[in-house]
Amino acid sequence: MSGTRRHALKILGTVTATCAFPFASEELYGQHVMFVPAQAPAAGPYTPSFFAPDEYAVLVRLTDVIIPETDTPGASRAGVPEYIDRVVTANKEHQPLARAGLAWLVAEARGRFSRDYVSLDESQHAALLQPLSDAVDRAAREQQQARYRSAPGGRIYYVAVTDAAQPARPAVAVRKDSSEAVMPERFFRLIKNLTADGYYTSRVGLLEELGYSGNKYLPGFPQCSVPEH
Amino acid sequence: MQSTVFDVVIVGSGAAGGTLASHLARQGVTVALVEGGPRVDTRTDFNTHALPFEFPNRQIPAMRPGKPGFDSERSRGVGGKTMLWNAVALRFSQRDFKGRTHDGAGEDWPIDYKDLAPYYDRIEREVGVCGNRDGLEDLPDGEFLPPVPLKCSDEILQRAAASVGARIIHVRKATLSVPMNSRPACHFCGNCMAGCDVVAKYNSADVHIVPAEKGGRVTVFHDSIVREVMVSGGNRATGVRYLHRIHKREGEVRGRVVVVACACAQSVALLLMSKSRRYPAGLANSSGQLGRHFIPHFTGGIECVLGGLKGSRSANDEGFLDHAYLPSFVHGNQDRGYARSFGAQFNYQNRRLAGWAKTLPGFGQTFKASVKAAYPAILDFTPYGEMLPNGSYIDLDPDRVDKFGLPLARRHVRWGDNEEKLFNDMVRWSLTILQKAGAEILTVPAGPATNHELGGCRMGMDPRTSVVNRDCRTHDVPNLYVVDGSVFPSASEKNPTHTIMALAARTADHIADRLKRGEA
Repeated sequence: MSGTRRHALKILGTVTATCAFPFASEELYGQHVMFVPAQAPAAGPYTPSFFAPDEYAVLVRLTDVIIPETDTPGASRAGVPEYIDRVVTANKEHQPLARAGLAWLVAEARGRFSRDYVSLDESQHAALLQPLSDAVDRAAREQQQARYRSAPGGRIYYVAVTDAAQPARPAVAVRKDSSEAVMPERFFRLIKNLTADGYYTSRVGLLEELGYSGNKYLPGFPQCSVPEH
Repeated sequence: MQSTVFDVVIVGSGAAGGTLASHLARQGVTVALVEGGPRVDTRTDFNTHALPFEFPNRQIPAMRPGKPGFDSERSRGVGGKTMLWNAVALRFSQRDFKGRTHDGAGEDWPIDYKDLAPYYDRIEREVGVCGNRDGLEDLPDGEFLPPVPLKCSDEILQRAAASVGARIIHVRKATLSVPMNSRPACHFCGNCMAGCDVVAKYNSADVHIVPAEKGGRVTVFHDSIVREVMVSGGNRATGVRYLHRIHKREGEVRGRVVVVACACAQSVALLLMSKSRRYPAGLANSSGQLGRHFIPHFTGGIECVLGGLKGSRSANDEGFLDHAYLPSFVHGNQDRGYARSFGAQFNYQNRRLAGWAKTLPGFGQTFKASVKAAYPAILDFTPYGEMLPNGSYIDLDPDRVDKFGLPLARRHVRWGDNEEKLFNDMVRWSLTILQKAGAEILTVPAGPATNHELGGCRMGMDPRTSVVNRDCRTHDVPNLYVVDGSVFPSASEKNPTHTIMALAARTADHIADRLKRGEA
């Protein structure tokens, strides 16, 4: 790739199929509000705008438990806590849950292990989070299985009210687990979702961990060289 | 106020409007192309090559800073939806035109495949469509540029599909696989739907409109939101009245012929808004059919991890998004229990977002390792089904207006018995093929989603049951035409744009001919 081309790739900035193309995955969870975009990240240490300093320290530790440092950096070094603070600042509906969940972690650490959350060891983190994670995974599995079963029944009539018609879908009975699940599970799901989204869209997560190598000029598309399976 | 009277005034500059303008201009016809959005330059204005971490919220805006906005809701901007489309270009087959004759449901088109075939040829020659000649009865071959190689994952799926009697072929796209007419070949950066910055992918602005403007016969009125088609006391369309997007002033463009080509629901809305004493229920709506027979495609997206690629080395395989296509293969089975059929688009996911990662179970090192292993193997698979005319319709919202004070179009989508059976069968077939391919299913659809809006100004021979005739001319007004997906009487399961462009080229010939003979 020539220097000019590299430069062009760098300064041009992509929409990722936000147009009417039905990507199967749900939208990035919790990102309902656009921030003012900036081409370059701000220099210097980040000052959280929603979380208080002690809450933020718990959040930083929690994100690193969810995506730890291995041969590549973990969540905090990838800027995930900053990302979560921005999302939660911009989306008020997440604020009570985020605050309550962090307070719950602090209280559990104190009550069960008589320690500060940030100084828990690996097995203690697992003892706190594994039940929550299992419950979240079980609910997601059940939701998928319900979709297999729930062939849209009857003649459902629905209206897309505006020109943005794409959300139009027949109403299929899907269990709304978020309202039924208990607070710590909902909190874990929120933070795991945000941590995964934040990490794998970061420079560290996308380039170093996942090894993304696209967005380049290829003179031709290579023939597949993977042998038959 | 314009004093010029153009030969033809076209509302909308997308696949239909751009093709029409170009083909009319080549025959000496003067054209006003009236577009509701700004002029955008695909080389410089879109955020084509950005990566998510360049933005604090990890969402890449469509446009670069300081560039005019491209209305993402209605794709307003010169070039319309072709600026951000995925360029799949499929010919409809004779079965698609004669669905009612074939399986007794829905409607036949009043034209045949042979009526459009020469125009499909012409479009392929001028815009460049890559593909393989597969000899399928239900997906006619064309004059293709060389196909692009399949991805490894496509080959895995191809073998799986073959084992259940379905054939996966090279996708056919209006994207260049070799240089053509000073446009370069695709370089496989994977950003097709973010605005192709080299015009390897067809867009109507660069391929049709700008060259026609240079020829002097096409005048573009951008940022001009048409709010009414004007009709004289003598029942002739005389032009359009618009609202300027920026300074909000009204203006008029007059012509001998008016063509409405601003995409399905908006074309219907414009005609419904164009009320007069003669047409109190909307222009060209004496039959009451305007807005009826809305037949969008419906889809059911599945996300999975292909077992054979799990844990493999991350490859640069975004290509030009999907490289393969699963054509309809069930229409020959008379015992399937429903009318019409489905095809599937798949393997169009990009690798710069991993929204699926959070759906993998657990946390910690094992979670991190499972995401990394799945990453090169993630695959999106989306079957597209045909909706029958089932009572779904478009109307104007009586209570809500947009920021310009114009009524919003409403889509009323009915989910009929045939749709339900077809949806369930297409999801079942998709899962069967994916499981044969060794895929772990991550997500199945919660229900159908609509895409590719079609119908609302049905084409037909009978003025009592249709809005336009076989030449896309309205039954009611002799110099008013509608050319876009709204005229489709039956939707097929195939992506509609190629057929819209072929219809536009055919209508251009028809209009130019009438103008020459002094009939219009």
